[in-house]
Amino acid sequence: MFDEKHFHSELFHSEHHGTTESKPLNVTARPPLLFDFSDGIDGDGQLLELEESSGQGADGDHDSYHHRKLLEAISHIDGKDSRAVVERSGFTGKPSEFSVSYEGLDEKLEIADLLPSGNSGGRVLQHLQKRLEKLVHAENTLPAPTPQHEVEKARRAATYTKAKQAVDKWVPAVLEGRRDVSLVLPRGNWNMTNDLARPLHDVTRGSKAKTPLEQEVWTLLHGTSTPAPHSKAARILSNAMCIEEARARRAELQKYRALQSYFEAKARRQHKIKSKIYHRIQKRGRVKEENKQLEKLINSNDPSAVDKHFQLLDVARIKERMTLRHKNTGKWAKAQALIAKHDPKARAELQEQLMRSKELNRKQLTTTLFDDGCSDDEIQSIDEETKPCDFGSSTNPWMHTSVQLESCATLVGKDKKKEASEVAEDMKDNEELLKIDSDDDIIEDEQTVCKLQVNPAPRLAQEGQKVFSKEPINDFNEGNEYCEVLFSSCDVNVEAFETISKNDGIKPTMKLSKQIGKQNRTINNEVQSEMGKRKRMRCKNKMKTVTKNSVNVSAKSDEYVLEKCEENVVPSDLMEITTETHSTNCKKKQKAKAGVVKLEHNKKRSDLRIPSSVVFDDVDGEELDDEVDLAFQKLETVTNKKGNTEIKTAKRTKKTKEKSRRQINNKRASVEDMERTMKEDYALSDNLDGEQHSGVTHADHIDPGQFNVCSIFDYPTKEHCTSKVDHVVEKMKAGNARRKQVLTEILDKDKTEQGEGALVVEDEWEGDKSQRALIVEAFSGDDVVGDFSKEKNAKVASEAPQVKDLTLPGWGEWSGGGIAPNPRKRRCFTIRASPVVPRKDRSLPHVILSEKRNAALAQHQVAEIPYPFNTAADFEQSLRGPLGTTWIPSQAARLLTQPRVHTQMGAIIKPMSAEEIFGDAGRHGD
Amino acid sequence: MRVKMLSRNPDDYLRATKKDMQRVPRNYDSKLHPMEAPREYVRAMNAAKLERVFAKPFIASLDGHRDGISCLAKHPCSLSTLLSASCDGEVRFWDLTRRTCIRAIQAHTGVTSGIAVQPSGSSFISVGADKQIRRWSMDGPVAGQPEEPLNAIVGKTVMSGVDHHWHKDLFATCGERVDLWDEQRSTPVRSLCWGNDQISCLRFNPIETSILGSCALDRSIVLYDIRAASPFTKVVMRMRSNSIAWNPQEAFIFTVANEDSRLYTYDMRQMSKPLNMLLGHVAAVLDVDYSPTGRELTSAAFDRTLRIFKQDQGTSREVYHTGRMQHVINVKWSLDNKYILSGSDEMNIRIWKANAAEKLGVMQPREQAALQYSERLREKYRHFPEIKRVLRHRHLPQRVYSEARQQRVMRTARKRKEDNRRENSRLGAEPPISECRKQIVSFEQ
Repeated sequence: MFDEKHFHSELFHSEHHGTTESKPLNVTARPPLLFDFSDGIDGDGQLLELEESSGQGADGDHDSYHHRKLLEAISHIDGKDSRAVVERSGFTGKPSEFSVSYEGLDEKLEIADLLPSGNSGGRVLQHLQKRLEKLVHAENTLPAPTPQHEVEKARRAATYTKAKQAVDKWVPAVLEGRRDVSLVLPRGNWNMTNDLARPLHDVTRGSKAKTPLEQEVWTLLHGTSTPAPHSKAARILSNAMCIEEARARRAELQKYRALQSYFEAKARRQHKIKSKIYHRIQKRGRVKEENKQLEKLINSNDPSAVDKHFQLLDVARIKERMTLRHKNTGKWAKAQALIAKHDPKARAELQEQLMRSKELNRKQLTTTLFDDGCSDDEIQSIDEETKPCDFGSSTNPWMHTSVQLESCATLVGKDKKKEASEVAEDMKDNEELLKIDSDDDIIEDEQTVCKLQVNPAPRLAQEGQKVFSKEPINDFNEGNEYCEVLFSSCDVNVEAFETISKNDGIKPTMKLSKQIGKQNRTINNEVQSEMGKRKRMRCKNKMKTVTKNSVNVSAKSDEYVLEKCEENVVPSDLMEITTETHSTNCKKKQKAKAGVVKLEHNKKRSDLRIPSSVVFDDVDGEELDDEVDLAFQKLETVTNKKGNTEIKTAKRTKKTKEKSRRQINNKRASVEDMERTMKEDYALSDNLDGEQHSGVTHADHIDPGQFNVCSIFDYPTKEHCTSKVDHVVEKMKAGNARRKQVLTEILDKDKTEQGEGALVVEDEWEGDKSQRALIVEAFSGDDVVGDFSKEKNAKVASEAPQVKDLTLPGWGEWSGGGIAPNPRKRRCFTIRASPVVPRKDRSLPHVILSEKRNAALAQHQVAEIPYPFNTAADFEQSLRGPLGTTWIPSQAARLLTQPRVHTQMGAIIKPMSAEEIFGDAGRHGD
Repeated sequence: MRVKMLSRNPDDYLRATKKDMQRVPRNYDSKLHPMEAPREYVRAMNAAKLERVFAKPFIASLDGHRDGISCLAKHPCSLSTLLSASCDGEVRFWDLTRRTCIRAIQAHTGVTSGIAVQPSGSSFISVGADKQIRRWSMDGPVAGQPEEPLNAIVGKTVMSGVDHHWHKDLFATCGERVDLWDEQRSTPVRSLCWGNDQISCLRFNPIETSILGSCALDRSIVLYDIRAASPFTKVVMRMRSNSIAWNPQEAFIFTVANEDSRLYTYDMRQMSKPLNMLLGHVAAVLDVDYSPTGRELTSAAFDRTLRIFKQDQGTSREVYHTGRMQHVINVKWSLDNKYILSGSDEMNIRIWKANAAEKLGVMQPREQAALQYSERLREKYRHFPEIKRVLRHRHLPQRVYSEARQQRVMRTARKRKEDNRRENSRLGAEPPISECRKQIVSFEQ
């Protein structure tokens, strides 16, 4: 409980004496208390009530009061206390708050005493009483005012806390900066132009001219007296236009906008029209317009404008060439191409497209020529020149190119199947036609065949003129071209084979054999198809040469292909053939007449390669026709079969190459021998055959760059021919059978040797061995191992503990001749060897381990673990990886060696800022 | 004999485009490149030696002042500009690229004790012994006109330093107390004081810009917050601090240059003990400045040397001195982290390279890569005794060398004595106290 009296006394005590003791005071209670007192004193009725209540209270204490008065009087008898006790003289029921004093009272005055008792007062008084009670019972006292130094301390603490909070938010950024392996400064996006070092005058005043001199310079440079105003407002002002101008400008703009929208609408409308006729008309109009303009240009006598126009056209052409337009690659074209087979209209359309492309791509030279006034004939001739030859579809736009070789090849490839059946007939026809010609001509032609390779074109042209004077020259030229093309392609084959055969490289041969087999077939077909075409032109001798040549070539190439694979397996055949050739040669001497063109090898292998061994019978005997027909029928059938079997053999041969290789090598020698003998025979026959025109022509490498004909033209008699053909047919039959047999044999061999691969391994080993032998040979003089062991032995010997004999003979004793040193002294001065410690490298024959410590190295070694590391392993770990590009890729090296702090030359590095670290959110208002 | 053909894929050696890098076939098989550690060690050794060979830090000396340099100020926007004030009151502008003085102002009568450039770089404030604060335009007067300050305020006391707020138009001067001024007013906005002694140096925190640090002659370091209008931390050290510098990349780190020839780095949040003690100087350290990267700092000392320290290491990585350079009063690290500028008693301002062996100017990428590689090699092998020896080797003036040795002897003697005392006293009676903590006399918050 709160002590009322105590409180009261304290209150007044402090009032009177004004002490500054720091006792708890209820500061909040104090002013209302006084105020309430003054409130309570107002009004007369209230004061009356106070009187009554005080009168009642005074009665009980009367005696004690007097007693106290008495005691006081006694105590003041001595008169020392001059201060009189405040006392009212008259009786009054209402004590005044102004003269309240407890001086001389033994008990304190209570506030409640100043008020009338609870129930007796009015409403206001009751209220006062209640408030008073509340105040009295309130516990919250005011603390004493804190001393200044304490206040400051508290304030500092608060400030510190705030400041700490403020800087604490930077901690993550700071730590990140410390952790950064490579700190890049300045951070973020700094502006090169703004942030780079600028001279002071640029920073401070920009481009302002300030001094008179600067102003003058400005005037000189810019022509105006003062620099342009820099402020934005000034710029706006200077750019402003007057209102009339603005209106005019606006009207103009509106007009343009209206026009633009009108044109756009029109274009859109036109674009929507689907009618093709309409568009065609439009286009025509456009073209007409263009032409008109062009004419105008030309008439205007302005060469530069015309040039410009043609340049534009040229550019258009270039663009056209670059695009895929009109190349029939689009969706539509592909669809059309699908139906073109059945729909001629679609085909025509496609072709038209292609033609268009050609037209657009063509150089505009003709127009200029036309403009220059060239005659129509000239243009015609140009067109004819550029025009392709007439074989194949004449409407095919692809054929309108100058690249005829390509077209020829493709065409032949396409038409091959179709014409395969016709070929034989064509050839027959040719032969019939050929038969009509005179023998002399034929012979002459055949002679030219050999010379053709040297210079075929003029010769042929001459002959063509001589024989067929009515034929146009260019046909021959064309023919020559084709011949050349074919020959060159054949040349390639032949050359390739030659090289192959020289190198004896089996592997590439086998690879090529397939390819070449195909090529030969195409060449044959080409020749045949070409002949089909030529039939119409009746260019017979030409054809013959072509066929002969091509036949020769193909025969030769074919022979090489098959020689590799089959020579070994048909030795008996060979033998037969050689004998046969011998016999033919013998006959040939007697009956040398133009006729069968054949090759020695073709003859040999007529059973295997029927088309290559085409035997042309130029003998003018009618009776041979049937036989030739027969032969060709056979030929046909065999060709068809061959198409399949050849591929097979090519494959097989590839497989069996390894096996056959050695055998071939063996056989080849014998074959070569045989060939040699045959050649000798021919030479012999040449010598003997003096009366013959050309007899046997053995043309070997006439022109190595051009063509290699190893053909021998034979002119057997009629009878012999028939027998020959018969023999050929027989051979064909036999050859087919034989071939099958060979194939089965090969297959069997394959099967048996599959999976073994022993030969291959052996071969590899052989290669290794040779390599090894090579190395051994290279280092034959060096005995590295021996040297090393010697060195090691020397080292071991030198490092082994040795006995040191320190005796000085003659020291302390007599010396001279014949006096042996004292053995006791010797024993004394001999230091014995320390016991032998086994060497660490004793079991390592290729290693010398030195156990001596290298003192010079010690100064380079780290003696103790350096500061940031705790263990030696940690430290070693830090040294482990290399950093240089000698050991690691450059990218990795770059990453590892990047500098710790990366700064930009001349860039000002600003302190860390909130914007950089926290973005816009970090902007604080301090 | 079979011929084995070499067949290479063109992708391995051909570039896709012309602009691609040239492919250099490289076999990284470690067997082909043995002895990597020894070879790199040799390279590191060579790099260390070459670094010493190329270490030529001194660039230029700017002379023109007629009295000792009292203070330097960097221009915040122009790297090539430096402001310097001397003890005769003159302020000079220097063009560092041309190494010439471009302007000179007689700013004050008596010492110009401080200069502070406005963050925009358009004007600067100087305070002097004549109790005046003067604001000057950065671009000089029109030709022929006399130099006049934009405005001048006459203060009540002598001011020994000035610093400008990093963003706002506020600046603070120090003297008997710290006064905070608004540029638009002629009376201080606020006065802050703790203790009665002269405050010698004053710096605003560059990151948390409302925080101020100051050093006073009563050996105290006091921090203030201008928002709270009161100081909040005070540390009294054994000897007084001459200068204070805030780390521009770490908001709560600052370093003071102490009279006891050391520098002390503090964390603002825990100032009862310095974080780090930077040793090296042999006489009073007079000025300190952080590099703009915040990783290094440089100090100027009465022993006529400059030193460069790494923030987290205890000893200097570099010491600069020349025969003619006297007591170095001021030092500044340029804002592009490349140069150090020092002002000294003998009236010269010197330009130094921040990295002594650095090649200035344009470098080819290959050269750059090679230099970076050698730098990293030096770092990798820095603990190896021979390399360490080469890298640490510096030529010192005789007096500095002998003084350092003497101080070392004294330090070890003191330490030995302490150890002895500890050994011969009751366990725990003489607890070991770190050298850093020993420097703190009192700490108040």
